[in-house]
Amino acid sequence: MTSTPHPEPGRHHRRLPHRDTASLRRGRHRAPRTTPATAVARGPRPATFWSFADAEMLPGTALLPGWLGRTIVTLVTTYTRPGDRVLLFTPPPSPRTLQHAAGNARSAEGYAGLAEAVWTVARLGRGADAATAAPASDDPAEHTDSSRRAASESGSRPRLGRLGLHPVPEPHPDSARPRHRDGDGPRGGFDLIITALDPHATDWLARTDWDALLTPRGLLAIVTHSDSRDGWLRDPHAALLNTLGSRGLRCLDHIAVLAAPVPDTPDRLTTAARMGTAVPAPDFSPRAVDAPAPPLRTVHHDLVLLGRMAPDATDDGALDEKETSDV
Amino acid sequence: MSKRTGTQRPLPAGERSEGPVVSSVWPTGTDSLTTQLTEGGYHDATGADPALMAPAIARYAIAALTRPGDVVLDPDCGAGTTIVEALRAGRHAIGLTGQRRWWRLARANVTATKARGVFVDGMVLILDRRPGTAVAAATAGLTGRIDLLLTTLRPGPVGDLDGALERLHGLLAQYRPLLRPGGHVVITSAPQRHPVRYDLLDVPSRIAAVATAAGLAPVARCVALTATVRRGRTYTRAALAQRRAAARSERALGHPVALPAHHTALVLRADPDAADPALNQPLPALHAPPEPHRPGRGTRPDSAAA
Repeated sequence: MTSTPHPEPGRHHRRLPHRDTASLRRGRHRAPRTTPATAVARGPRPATFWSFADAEMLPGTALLPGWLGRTIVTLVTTYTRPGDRVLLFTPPPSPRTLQHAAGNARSAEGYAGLAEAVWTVARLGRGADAATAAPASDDPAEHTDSSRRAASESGSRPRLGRLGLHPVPEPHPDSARPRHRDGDGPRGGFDLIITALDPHATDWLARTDWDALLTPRGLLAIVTHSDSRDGWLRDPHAALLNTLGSRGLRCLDHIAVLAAPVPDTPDRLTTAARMGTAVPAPDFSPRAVDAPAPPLRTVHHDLVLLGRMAPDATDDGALDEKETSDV
Repeated sequence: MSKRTGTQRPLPAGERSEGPVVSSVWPTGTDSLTTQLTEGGYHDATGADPALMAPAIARYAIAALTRPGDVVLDPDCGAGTTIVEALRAGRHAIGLTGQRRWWRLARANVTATKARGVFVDGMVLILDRRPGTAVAAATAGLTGRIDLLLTTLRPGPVGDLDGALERLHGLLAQYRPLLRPGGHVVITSAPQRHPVRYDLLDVPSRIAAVATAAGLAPVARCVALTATVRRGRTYTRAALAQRRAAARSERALGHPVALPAHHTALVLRADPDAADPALNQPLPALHAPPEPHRPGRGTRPDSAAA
């Protein structure tokens, strides 16, 4: 499977209005709704597999991987309209992340540059914000030294408090929808929230007041992946969907994002297996679960889209006029 | 069926010693399902199996997780694509199905495969999946001999997910003792939406829960493509019915809904904590599944060689 450098999604569908670079340098990047929704023609429907293995890094980014930048751009152009508000929500650094801050990038640290895409989102004509989820008060991450903290998160990224939002202290087991802190309804009002989830640190999902962050028709996009530790699968999907399901959010789609080239084709594998030369049998004995090298090469990330159910499932004619990407 | 002497074979000289490169994304959507069935020489009615595992997906799983001479079992084989692909790859294969229609079709596909001179080593059985089959298989010396249990989630008796998972759990509990220590289980599933709310159901996680209860441990959650990817673009080959279903979901949810381009392949293996006790204990009591009575069911043979 080969890919050429990808054009920006939506590039062939519309021409973005010129934006003043000075306004983009301000802390909050808000773009006015310049294009009427009715004037945008509907594009191709997206697929549940996005091949971004060869995506180039976005301009002006240092940490954000190319595939993740392309994923953010595609999410924004597919699920929002110009003028909508988008939040790039960096997860709190997990203890594992901080312990391996200089290690390999195959976990939450791989999502470290999420907030760097704020400029790109703003250039797409959306109101862009970036924030970091608050760690738990007893999170060991709070007790680590500041140098590690500085290495793992951007200094310019605001906490939720700057947006007028606060994490919920505890989930509400007796209610599908949590109470608002002030009882005055949602205050975040983001149409799309893009965040990431380390499969080994999912607790912060329950501490975040998604009800306040999202608009009633807002979408939550979570980039995550399954991980294998000591040969055992750590799949965050069940915990993710259970936690957010108790908050009234339902899974709308699951999309696989290819982040690295696929190493082998099945035909080559079959041929090699027939010849008995290139696919040695691994040690799959039951006692081999502690084998250091897992027999799997993870080349994709999972993108889970969640939202609230529409109040009326049959009356939605405006959707036909919504722009979509070309993936 | 040759006797397996160990879990490891000596590697030829000069062969790499590292493990296999099993990707989390299986590039199994290069050809359409129709093309795969046509070029594979399958019976024309094979495509009528609604829960068919694509031959390319079966081929990838077999090639990645087994070696020539290994034994592959599909306890719910339907039209038999898993069995045929195992035979073509030089693996022994056993397919089970509880429906006479699929039993005949699977036999026809296996017979056609043999008639084409495809290399087949050993005996292939298409067994009836009624109670007692597992006991018969154990009696035949298959306990601990299966290297790969490869199957797909099929609809339950009334087409519901709960019924499908209940049936899958029964199959896994019944045939788990046949799996060799360290053997693998691959269960594929297509994306499913709630029939009323249209939200996406987390079928793989529920399969993992069912398999864990049967003494299996998930080791990987893979993406088996059903779409072609060229130059970074995904071509889903979605049928009109799939596009209509996506449009219905889109209207209900109020957001764009993606066309399905992949199935989920859950890879599991025998739980080391549960393997030895399960193998040392007698087979669990087998009860008749709560299915409606099928006329003529009692007239079928217990097993037949293809």
